[in-house]
Amino acid sequence: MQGERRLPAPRGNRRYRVFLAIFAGVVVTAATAVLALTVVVDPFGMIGLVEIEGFNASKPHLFSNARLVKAHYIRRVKPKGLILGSSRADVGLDADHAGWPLAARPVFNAAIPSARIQEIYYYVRYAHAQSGLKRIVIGLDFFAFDERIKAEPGFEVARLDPDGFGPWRIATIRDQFTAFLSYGAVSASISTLRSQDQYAVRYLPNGGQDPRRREWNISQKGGHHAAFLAALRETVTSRDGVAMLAYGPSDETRNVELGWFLELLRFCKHEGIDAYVLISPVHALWLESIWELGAWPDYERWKRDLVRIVDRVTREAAGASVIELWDFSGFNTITSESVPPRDAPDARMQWYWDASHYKAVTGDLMLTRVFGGGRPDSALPASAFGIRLTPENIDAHLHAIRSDRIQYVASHSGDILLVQTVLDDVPERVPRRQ
Amino acid sequence: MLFNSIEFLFFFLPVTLVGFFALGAWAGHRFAIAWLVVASLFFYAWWNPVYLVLIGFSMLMNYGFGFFLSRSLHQRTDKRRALLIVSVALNLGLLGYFKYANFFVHNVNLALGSAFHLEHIVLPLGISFFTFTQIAYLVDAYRGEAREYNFLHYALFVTFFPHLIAGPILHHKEMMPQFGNRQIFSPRAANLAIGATIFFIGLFKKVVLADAFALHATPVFARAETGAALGFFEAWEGAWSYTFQLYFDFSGYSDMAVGLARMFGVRFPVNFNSPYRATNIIDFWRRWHITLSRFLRDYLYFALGGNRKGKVRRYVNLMLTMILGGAWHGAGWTFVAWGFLHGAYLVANHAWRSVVPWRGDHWTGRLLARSVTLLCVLVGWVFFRAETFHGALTMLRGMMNLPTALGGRFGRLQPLLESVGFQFSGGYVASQHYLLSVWLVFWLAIVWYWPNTQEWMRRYRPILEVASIRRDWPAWMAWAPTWGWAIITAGIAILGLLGLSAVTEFLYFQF
Repeated sequence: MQGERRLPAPRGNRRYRVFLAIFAGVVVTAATAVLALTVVVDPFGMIGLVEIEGFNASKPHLFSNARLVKAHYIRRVKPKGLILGSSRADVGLDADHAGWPLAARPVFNAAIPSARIQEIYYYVRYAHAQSGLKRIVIGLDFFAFDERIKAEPGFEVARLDPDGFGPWRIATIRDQFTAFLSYGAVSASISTLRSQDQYAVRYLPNGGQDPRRREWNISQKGGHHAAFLAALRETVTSRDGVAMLAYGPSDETRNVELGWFLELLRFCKHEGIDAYVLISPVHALWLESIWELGAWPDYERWKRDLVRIVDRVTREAAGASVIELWDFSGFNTITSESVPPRDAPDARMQWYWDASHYKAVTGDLMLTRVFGGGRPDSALPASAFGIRLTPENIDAHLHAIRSDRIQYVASHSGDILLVQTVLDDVPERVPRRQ
Repeated sequence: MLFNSIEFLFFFLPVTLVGFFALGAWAGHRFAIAWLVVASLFFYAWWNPVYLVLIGFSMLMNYGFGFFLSRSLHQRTDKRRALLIVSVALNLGLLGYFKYANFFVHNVNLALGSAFHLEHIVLPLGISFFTFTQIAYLVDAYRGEAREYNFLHYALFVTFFPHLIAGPILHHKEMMPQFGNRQIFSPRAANLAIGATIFFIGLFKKVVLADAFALHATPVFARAETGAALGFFEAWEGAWSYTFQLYFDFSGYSDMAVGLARMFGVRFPVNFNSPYRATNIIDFWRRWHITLSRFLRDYLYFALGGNRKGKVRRYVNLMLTMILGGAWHGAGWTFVAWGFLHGAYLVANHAWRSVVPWRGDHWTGRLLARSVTLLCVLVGWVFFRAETFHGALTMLRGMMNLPTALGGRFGRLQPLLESVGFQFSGGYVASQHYLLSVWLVFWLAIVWYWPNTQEWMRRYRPILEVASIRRDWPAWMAWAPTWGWAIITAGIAILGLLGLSAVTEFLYFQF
């Protein structure tokens, strides 16, 4: 062979056997070392074998991997009640609320950051296949219906496929690899070990966020005022159109997002799952930014579309379950809560963390109202908070919100300045309302 | 199933290997071969079992044609010729329907303003590869160079999973005689050790190197598609990143295929031989996707008349071959443009050779030739990667958009430069841009001066054509079954395994 000394080919089979043994030994040893680190640190909280305060209890990589993590929690918890939605529902809606009926317990909060309606659909189907759901509550957001963004990174249909034979199991195994035997797992483990001094990033056993993190966040940002500014700025400048989005035609055969919503409700009805759809009570200033961006007509159209679809599913014969649509958005005593001034970083708001996220006390009001069948409850501080939408009352309701807005703008001129400040900062963000 | 997936590595491969050797030892070779065929079909059906119907039909049809072509070897040639033409046409028809029907209808509609509607046809996996493999087989059968009357063997030839999805494009006579060797039916530590080493080198290239380059290439090409004006450094970083991404992707894939086959005791022909070391485009095509170049040369270029009909026809044939070769990679005008560009490069290369005797044998000449060749290839990759012409041109404009600080530095040359498309608004030079050049030099040194997998494994006949392996590397740059190499190989393997779970698709899969 061209002048090179050719080693005696496979004759020395023993050498190769030794080679293979060493090779396998080193690979197994290295993999075991990696596993020892990732299993103990458990950066995604997948097994919870070791949980020591100051060592690995806070998990900074949890929320950015919520789509992976919560799917595996669901498999473990086997919930009969489910909370869905975005980070708003994640921090605001309580899985341990007293109103959840016994039959729907345990309840798990399966809300994921920036959830899209398609994602919600798949998580419901998946959870139902695990344990048979009885009741779900969806904190519904306008941005979940953006035409341009069907799902966020980390979402995988294969992971949530309830009836796939091979792929389902493979997807689970692959997730275990991702969580324990991957570069991502190693670097997440190391950074988890390093960032224990920060704040409590963790999910409660029921899937909700540990509220201490929000508290910490508000102090870090310099109070509610700064948190509101930051949230509004993100709203206005974000590329994924949190406030102003590409909302397609009002026809679920052409608007794919509405199609997912329809499918979701049909699925619930068919499977006998009670579904409570709650339009999120974003703060009045958030609504004001939607108004200022000229997205209000779409926002209203969206609500009308939801009403139409809920009504359609309710009338359809197949299946029997409660399907209710509630609107908690608007300008009422809760959502209009005043924002503390800039120079009062220690002042705490009662109902809101920031313009986008309501507190769990607000969520409790919502659940009490919805689960109580809408009975006026004298114990509630705001009996007008939340209205069940029907084809009959939607026009009047939207009209009422518009007039409430006029009152709000007149009476909260100080707060409104926040929105103006943000809009003035970003002149390139185009279509201002005429 | 992807080679770099967990299901392949931890389930499919071990089960297939164990089954093959167990059946080979206790049930007989026929059963072992049948097992390999079933396993390969399972591998293929993993994406979508419906595809089995297609590949089954294609195999039966071609087995039948091959049967008759081989049986009639001594009969009248015109009938056999007609049979060959019909069979090749049927294969091309099948490929054309699945791969180009949507593209064709779309363009007809564009040209005529019509509104013909065709449901979106999903491209069956690997159809480009198994179609070409079988066309080559039919021609070989026609020429009497291949013969297969046993359907099981024929099925193994077509479906053997290491080459099924993305090549190399094999000849029957290259692989099938190897299954006639009784030794490959019993496990040999040597084959497993050598095969696993080659496989894990490939896996490392794919999941560690190619995927890392993709992180730099993808956003730039995505931005180009939006039409945003790109700066000089951004555009070049994107183009170089993709150049390296594709290199390590395809090189890694080819290594994995070679390594897998070797675990079964089978050697594959060389498919990838340090193509960026090429000192001209002709050389490049002898190093990049070698089995495809061979196919296009033998069955298309020669069929068109090759270089036997004068210079002009030769150049026309070259252009045609490369344009069709481009379109084979994907149904889109950017692939056609890529093929056209390479056709033009080849014509220029041949014309240059016939005029200029200079061979540039000095190392500086080689370096220059290598650099120019690689730049031409890189410009080609911009078309290959871009989703639209518009995106490709935006990239090229960005690459010609020189740093702003250079404006006014070229004196009287500047108007000339501007007239050919250069601009001087490509952004300011920052310190990270100097680091980019270090990065570039490092990776160029790797692809130019670091031994490739065949060269590392040169003592153990990793591929069929040993002649293409350079052997003048230092002795320590040669793998051997020693303690040291076992540890190094294990290190490479673990680095690849840790990258498994963030699976990305192989680029060559859709072609």
